[in-house]
Amino acid sequence: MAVFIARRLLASIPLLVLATLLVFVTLELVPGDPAELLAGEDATPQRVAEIRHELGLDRPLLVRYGDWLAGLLRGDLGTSLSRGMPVRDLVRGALGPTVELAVAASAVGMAAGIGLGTLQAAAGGRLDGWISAAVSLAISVPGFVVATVLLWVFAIQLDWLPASGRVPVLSDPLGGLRTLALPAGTLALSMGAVLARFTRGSVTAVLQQEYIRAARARGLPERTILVRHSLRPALVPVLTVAALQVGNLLTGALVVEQVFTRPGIGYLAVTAVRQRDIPLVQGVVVVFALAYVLVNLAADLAVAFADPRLRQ
Amino acid sequence: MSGRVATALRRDRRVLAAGMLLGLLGAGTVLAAIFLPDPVAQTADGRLLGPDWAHPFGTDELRRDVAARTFAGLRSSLVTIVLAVVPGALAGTGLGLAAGVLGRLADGLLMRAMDAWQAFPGLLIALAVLAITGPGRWGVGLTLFLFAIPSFARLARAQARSEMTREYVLAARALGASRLRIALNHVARNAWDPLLTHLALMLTVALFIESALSFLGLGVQAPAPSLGGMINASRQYLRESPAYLLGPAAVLSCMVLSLNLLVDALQDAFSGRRGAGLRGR
Repeated sequence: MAVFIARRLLASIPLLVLATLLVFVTLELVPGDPAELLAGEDATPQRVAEIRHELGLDRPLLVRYGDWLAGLLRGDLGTSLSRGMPVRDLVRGALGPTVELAVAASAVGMAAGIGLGTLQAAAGGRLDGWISAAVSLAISVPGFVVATVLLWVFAIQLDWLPASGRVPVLSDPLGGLRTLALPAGTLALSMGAVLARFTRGSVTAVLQQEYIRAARARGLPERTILVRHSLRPALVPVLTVAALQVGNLLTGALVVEQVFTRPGIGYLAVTAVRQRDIPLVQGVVVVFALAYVLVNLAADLAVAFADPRLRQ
Repeated sequence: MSGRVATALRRDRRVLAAGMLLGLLGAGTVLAAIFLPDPVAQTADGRLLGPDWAHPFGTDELRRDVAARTFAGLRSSLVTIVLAVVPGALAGTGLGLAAGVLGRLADGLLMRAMDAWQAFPGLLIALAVLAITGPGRWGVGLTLFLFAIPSFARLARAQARSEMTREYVLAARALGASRLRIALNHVARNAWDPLLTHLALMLTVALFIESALSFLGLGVQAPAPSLGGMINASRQYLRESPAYLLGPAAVLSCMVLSLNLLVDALQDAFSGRRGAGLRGR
């Protein structure tokens, strides 16, 4: 297992290096000169050159990439152009709301999705058909539409939940959960729908295996067959899909945080792109990429833990 | 497409449902173009009106007709995704076929590049691309084009490699056919079915991304109509005019739903599986 973990960790390093290189180089291609932008409209060419020198923009691309990467390893992501604050502080401040959101959404989404999918596979018949239809519908409605409709129903029509803002869950659990309910619910809905569909297929396939028939022939109760003998093998592929979905949650956060004005990474990212604040975009995208790689790593490890055959 | 697949599709209720939804949307688009006011022009009626016969989805904050803007937005979304994804699909398929037919080195290089590109989700790519191009339709199109390439490359390569081991390829080689000829004339034709299904899937994903980007204000810019942009604008007027949200939301969801139904039906038809709801019968 240790060897597997080590090998898997090493394998994600080139991906990260490539990602950082891609992010850095593509964003260096941005037309327009940040130095001229900072200097203002009626700055002298000397002043622009000075600022360019201060920002280190007069040095070759690869040198700057090296510096940036070294800074990244020290946790220094540069300074935001639009806010004049270190990118690191902005990102750190925005992590909390997004992590809360991702954790809540994936907990609810996984529980609901795996539960529903298993129920469908076990029950079959009309119930299965209705849930399948609901799942198809839930998959087809884009996240920002779900979010806006939930906002309209629960925050405006019924006035049960706040429409925007964020209260830290750890300092004020009730208030925190109230601000978390709608955004996390939006993301959990789409995640749950995808997982329900996949779990249904996976459990159905396992239930058709010979050894399940053998277990039935031995007279084991259906419940035991489903829970003890089917779920474990059926859930291994589900885990992989769940991890991909957690990755998708991160991009879902872009939209959902916008709708509910939740000051997380997604909100920060969209603002940064709109203002074309390149250092901030670089920082946010790298953090996203890192989170994405880590989530997938965790998923691979979880899958390997559940299925010994994959550790080879 | 074989007769078996065509029969499976004809019998599939999902295809019927998707066809009806698409028919409705198409009729709506045509009717909106004929009977409703110009999507960009302000009407003489009030702002944020509820739905009535003159304005089926009401009017917006600038007294424009919401239904006219919705269907114009749908049309513009579809044009953008088709013009971006189809070339991306062709480019990706070409790369994939090349990787599958050419030697090991080219294969390895191409596929590692695709892996890295595909390792990150679409919206993340969108952020990087849009930071460069600036918000707007061109940036969105470029994003979708780039986004489509790697998955088609992978799929085409897998198809090509499995086709290349077939006996008919050996026979074609024995007859002296060049690699290029084999790739284009034989392999590409047999790899067609899964690629078509994948194209439908990618169009759906592209519609998601395109509308999400317009919603975030990074796609089509005002005053041009876009589904995402309208839903974003409607958030400020949810109390006054829910129709402003619900009209575009329903049209967008129906569009995605019908595409999804088609994708599911195509996948099941090609794999010979039976549709949902027929389990154990």
